[in-house]
Amino acid sequence: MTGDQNLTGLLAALPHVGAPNDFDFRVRARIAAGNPADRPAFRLPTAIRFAVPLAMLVAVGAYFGFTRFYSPGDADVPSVVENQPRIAQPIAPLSENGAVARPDSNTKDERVALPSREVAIPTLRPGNKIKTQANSRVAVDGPDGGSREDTSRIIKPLYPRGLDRDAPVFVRDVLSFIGAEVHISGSSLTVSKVQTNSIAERAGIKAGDVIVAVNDVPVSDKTAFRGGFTGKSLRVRREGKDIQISLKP
Amino acid sequence: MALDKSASIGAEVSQPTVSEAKLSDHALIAATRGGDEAAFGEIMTRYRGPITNYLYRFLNDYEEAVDLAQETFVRVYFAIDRYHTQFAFSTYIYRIATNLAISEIRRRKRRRLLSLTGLFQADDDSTVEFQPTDGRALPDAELIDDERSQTIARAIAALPEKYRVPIILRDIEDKTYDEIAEIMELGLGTTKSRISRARGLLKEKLRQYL
Repeated sequence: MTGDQNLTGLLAALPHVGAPNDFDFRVRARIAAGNPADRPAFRLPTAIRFAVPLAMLVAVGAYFGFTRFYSPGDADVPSVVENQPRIAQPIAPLSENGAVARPDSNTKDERVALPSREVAIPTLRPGNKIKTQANSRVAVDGPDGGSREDTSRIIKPLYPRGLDRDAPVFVRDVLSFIGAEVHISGSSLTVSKVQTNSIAERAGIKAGDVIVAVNDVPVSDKTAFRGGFTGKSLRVRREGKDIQISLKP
Repeated sequence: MALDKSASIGAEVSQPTVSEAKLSDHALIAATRGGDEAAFGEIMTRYRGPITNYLYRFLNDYEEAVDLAQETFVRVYFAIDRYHTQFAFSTYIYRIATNLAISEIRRRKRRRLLSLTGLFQADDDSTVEFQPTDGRALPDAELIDDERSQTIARAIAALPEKYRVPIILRDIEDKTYDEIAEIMELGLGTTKSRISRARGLLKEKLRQYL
């Protein structure tokens, strides 16, 4: 009980705090301002008070989620697949898919081991699946540029988006690819110039030759090839004689 | 109605007459209802000091205590028609002040919870809010200099609300147990129990002064 009495005495000894001199004046001013229940207190609407922090939270989360999981290379940027090196064919001017293989060597007989590159690009065809970046990583991580799995896997040729495989390739363009420039007289194609160190020169085509047939198919200035095309042979007329020229090495 | 009433307030003489000073609280309330603004002035004169002191001990913040004390009188004024004279006016006005103070403390807690700086503050009532300097001389200037008084005030302010109210009313405002029970709307036994518990808590905190 003594402790209680001491405490009571301690609390009772606290000095009393009075009201300021303008207390009554302020109360009357408040009364003049009206009933406090009628005074609208400024408060943000509840929806705004919670919506703003929530929106900021969602925005920050979306930003980090976007940067974490989205990779811009997945959809529309081609990924390059490095496969095992294979022997390039220096004199093969046209590949299966119509692309021209360009040898890097200046000598005719030298065979250069070139790493082949296939550009994996999603096509517009519904049957073709997009080659994903994950597959590209598997191929690149192999000890020699490709894994065993890659070597046993048939890689479907993929083409740049928008490329029409069935687009016509005119014969003068084919000849231009292999280094033979032609001029058209009537419906015949006459070689006007052969590029130095070109496939045409190595195959033995000369200026003045008249192109008669490609792959034994008679050609004119209107002749065009479609789909997969591989140049195998040319037949030219030289000094009144037809000469068969092989484009294979 | 409020504006009609208040329009005459400023013109009235705020000092109560001698007869009003002798009137009971109920008589002053009745006079105020009849439009006697001087009677309301007398009510303020009687209770502004105790209410301000009570709220100051409750909140440990003088400016806030004065503000809530003024708000208490404003609410009394506007609710004067609903006041029933079978209850003691002193009980009635203390209950209003208590409710305002509890609301203020809960508002402070919400504010501290929502503010970023509050995350790094200790979760007790010992923090003193920043108050801009005021040119007026505070009546408790001596109190602020008194370290012991500050320690006691902080100890009281740190008590839970349910213990803080009865201990202030009993040991500082010198209210009876019955009055405290009526203000807190509790039973007499509960009130005594809370006061006893509050004293126990304070004795632990103020052991050095006992």
